[in-house]
Amino acid sequence: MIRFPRLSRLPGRLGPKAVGVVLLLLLLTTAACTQINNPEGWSAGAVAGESLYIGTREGQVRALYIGTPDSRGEMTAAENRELGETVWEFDLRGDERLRAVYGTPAVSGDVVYVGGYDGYLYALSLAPDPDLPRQPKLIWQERVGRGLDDSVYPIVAGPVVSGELLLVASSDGYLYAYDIAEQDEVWRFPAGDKIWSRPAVDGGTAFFGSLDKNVYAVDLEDGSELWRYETGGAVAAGPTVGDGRVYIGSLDSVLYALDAEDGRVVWRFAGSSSWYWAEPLVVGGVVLASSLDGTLYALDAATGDLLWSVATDGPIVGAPAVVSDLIALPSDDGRIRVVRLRDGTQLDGCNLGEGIRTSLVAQDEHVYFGVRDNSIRSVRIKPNGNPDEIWVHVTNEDDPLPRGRASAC
Amino acid sequence: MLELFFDIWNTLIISPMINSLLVLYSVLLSDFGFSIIGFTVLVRAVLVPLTVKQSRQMRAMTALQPKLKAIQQRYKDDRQRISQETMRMYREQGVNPLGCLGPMFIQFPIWIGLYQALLKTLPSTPESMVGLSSHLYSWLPMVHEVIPLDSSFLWLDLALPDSTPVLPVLVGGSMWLMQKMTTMPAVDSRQESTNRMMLWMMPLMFGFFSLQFPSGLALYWVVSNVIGVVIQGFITGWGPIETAVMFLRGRRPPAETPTLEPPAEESEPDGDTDDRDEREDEGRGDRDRPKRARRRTRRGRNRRR
Repeated sequence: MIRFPRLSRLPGRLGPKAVGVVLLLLLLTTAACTQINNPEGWSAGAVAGESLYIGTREGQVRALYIGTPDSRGEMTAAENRELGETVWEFDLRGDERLRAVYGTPAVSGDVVYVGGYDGYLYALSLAPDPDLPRQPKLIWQERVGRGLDDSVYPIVAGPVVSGELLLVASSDGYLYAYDIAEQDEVWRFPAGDKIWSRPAVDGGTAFFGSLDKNVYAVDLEDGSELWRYETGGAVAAGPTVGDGRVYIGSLDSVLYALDAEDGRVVWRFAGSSSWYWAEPLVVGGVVLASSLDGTLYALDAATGDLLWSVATDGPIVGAPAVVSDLIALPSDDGRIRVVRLRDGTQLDGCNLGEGIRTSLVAQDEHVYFGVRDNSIRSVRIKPNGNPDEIWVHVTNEDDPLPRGRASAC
Repeated sequence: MLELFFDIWNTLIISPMINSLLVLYSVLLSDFGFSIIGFTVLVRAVLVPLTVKQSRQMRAMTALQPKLKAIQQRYKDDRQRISQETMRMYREQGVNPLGCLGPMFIQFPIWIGLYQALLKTLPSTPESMVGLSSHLYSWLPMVHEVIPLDSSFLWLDLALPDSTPVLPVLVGGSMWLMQKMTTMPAVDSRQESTNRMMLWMMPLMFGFFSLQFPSGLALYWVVSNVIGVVIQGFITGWGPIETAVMFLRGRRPPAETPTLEPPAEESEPDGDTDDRDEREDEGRGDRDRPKRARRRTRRGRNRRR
């Protein structure tokens, strides 16, 4: 029989306390082990035709059937297909630990372009490969990044198609321009640090930020620098261009409006207490800037004055979407809020339970997005501001369409 | 419950650590290596009172070794009596045998916290970058402006384990010195073998950890050990290091004796000596004992008078 010593008999006066310390250490070790992060991805979707193309948290790209414009609001089958059903799925092919998608896929013609955190650019057919059911045809795969070593340079920002060029921003600090037809590099532009910012193209110029704190304007013709503006912090967010201005947020917690011609500061908004990660939206003279401090700021596009703001209980990583005169606002607190564009009044909301970090993509009355519970969802925003969940696609289960699932909203 | 614990842990340990590291990074030439070294110096400075207390406890324990040996000899057939007498002696002398472990226990949360703080301060993924933002103080603009940090220092990427054996060897070596300085002389052969095992196990273990953990943490260990050895040396003397140096030079070191030990009575105590005599013996060379313990003994004597 095993006899355990009584605590009072342990050497020294700290016997029971020592046991407490050991328990505390065990708890701390648990804490240490459970807070390790791996890339998971928060890809936004791209809508083309009857499909949504989106990255999953399992390191895949999926095409989901979203129906014809007439059938999107129906929960019943259309053309013998369920809404949210998988059309095809594609596993990223790089290092297994780095298979994740953060950027929004870009659709051009009958091809969808995806940048992987595994450092590869993938060009996939929109339609399934006739020879491989439920799989797309891999048209082109390119390892992006300086080719002198074996290092992997993750692609965080989504690629952008501009005419014959495909722009890909890489963590090796270069913006690459590829000729789509030739599948060949045309030029590359060096920034001082990683580029996690999705470029915005306007009138032959690409605008983007870099973690080196600069916002760049680059000539699409030859990749030459037109101007640069140094902010007070790294720039991870993408810019939005409108009315001759470049709107972009920085990790110095300031949103800048720069003159697209010369990079001069038109105005700056310093009302946020944390970083900007998502690109701002510009709608009807209003700039909608979501911040990691959990607030959506609506600013006058002309002056930068604060019009109104809406606070949430978690950081806002992805950009909201505008559906007619309503804003669907995602937050890492697990809620989708519906806010009136005119005055910021919160009309309704929907608690999904898990955080939402992807930008929302809107088509007609519907918004599509991924949730951290490994689901991709479609929510219809009714004109009265009431959100209505249409379908849920679970990506980590065998049956991606759980029947009879209780609707979150 | 676990969530509440994480909140407290993050608020009290992780966020202050991350912001301290970032402020130091901003001040110390935007070099994260210097930032970690500065942070280590600060941590050790905060722990100085505890370290000094630990060293004094160790000195007191060292001074007690001959008496402990005597107790073991006297009651060698009665283990329970040995335990009782040992405990009584500790109590009377105001010595806590686990007191030496205090700084080590306090440093455990610091190690775990620093491990997490390093991973969070040098984010490799967008998730960890976004996670970092929640730890930064909004009233401290400088910590926002220095993100992302340059993680290179000398030949190291501080976010990754050292790809060369240099840092693990430095960690192991400094840990060995630290162990050598803080190990108490053994009372019996069992404790001696335990001491010997600890002397080699700890350096090997931490050297192995250095192969797995970010080199920033290993840098913390090296600097922390060096500071600990210096503090220990000033308080308890450099005897163990001198012994080690002599050993390395190929000269036979003198027999290991407690460095600050008062002249010990090694003679076999008389089995008939009663407890009162023993207490009176203890009352003589008690300058090395803590004041509190001396007062208690005197009070006891006065009461007897």
